Amino acid sequence: MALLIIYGQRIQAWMILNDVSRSVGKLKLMKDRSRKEAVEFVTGGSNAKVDELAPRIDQFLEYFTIMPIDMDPSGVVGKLEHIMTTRDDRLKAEIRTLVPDADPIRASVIENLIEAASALNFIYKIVRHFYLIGKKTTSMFILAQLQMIMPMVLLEADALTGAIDAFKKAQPLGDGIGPMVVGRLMLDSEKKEVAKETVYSQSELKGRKVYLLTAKGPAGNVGQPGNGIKNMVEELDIKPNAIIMIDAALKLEGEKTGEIAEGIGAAIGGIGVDRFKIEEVATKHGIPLYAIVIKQSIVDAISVMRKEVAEAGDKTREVMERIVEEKTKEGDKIIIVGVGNTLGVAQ
Amino acid sequence: MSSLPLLGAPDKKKPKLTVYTIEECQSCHLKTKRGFREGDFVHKREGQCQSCKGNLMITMIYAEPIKVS
Repeated sequence: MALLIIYGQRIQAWMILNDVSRSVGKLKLMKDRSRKEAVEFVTGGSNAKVDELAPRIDQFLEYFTIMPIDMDPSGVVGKLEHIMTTRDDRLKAEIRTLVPDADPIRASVIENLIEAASALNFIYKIVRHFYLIGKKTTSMFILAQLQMIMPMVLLEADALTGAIDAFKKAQPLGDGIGPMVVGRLMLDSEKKEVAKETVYSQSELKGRKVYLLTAKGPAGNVGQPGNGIKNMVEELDIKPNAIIMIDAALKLEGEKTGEIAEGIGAAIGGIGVDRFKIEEVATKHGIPLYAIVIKQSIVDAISVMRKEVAEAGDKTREVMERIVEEKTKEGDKIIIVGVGNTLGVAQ
Repeated sequence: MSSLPLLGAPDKKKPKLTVYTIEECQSCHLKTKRGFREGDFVHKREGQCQSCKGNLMITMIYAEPIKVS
């Protein structure tokens, strides 16, 4: 008993340190595996190419992005968009130099693999930093905070690791449900590029003129739905009576995978540039925004599409048609957007 | 008592998944399920329906847990 009173906190600190150390080890394994998979995919297993290309891939994994300063927030979205576009363009250009003969699908797979490996590398480095600081300063409180958030960190890292298999085989991701529903409606119509890697087509639904917009598949793109909608409304002069957005959304624990929910607003994730643009266009022109989301966990969203999510596609279409009938009248114009990654989903 | 989070052991077993491709005939709407093959993508048109010779299209690709019999 006396031993516990004197050494209790040290024993607890030792147990926390052990627990965090195990988790750091797991993260290292995930990071190393993702790097190995990316290198193998790019080089196609050729040893000669590994020596040549692996150092370049390692450089990609260390790329960083400096977010714009927000002390004066006016115009920060424009700056953010500029930085993110430059980052994407640079990565794409580097991939083209690395594998000049890759077709668009293979190039997008490499891009997604490098993004996942880079995210895992970043997570590992941050966690290791706080683990070493905690160890160095023998601060139980730093280690305890790390231990508390570790289950969520591992969950996210696990999701990224799970995504690698889907990326390699170019299989549709859970996030691709929006493009899958909208892509089905676009099948027999002419597709026109309206923004970078973003296409739209015109069709008719329940007596309304519908404009269908999604990223360009079956390569793994998310496109630029914000610029797409803005260009359709302001440059192509399509003045819609409603915008309907279909996207995957993160479910809360306890909610069912594949559950469909309806709402109001711009259903789109990411860092906020697209959402800002869509909200701005909708507000300026007084266009109502309707959202349909298909719920799934973070793991399901970036892994191969689950059966429950794929089967929610038909029901989502029914919900969308009901919204079209209830919220608009015959002859109206509607923009329907399928938001998400189009890997393995054509239109 | 399984609803008490502190008493339940965390579920660490991940189910193994198999990926399937669902092809649907555009004429008779007959659906067939087969294993995923590289090069498959949703809305890919491929081949003819064995029963009505209509056009086949991949309508879904999804993963589901392997059933242990």
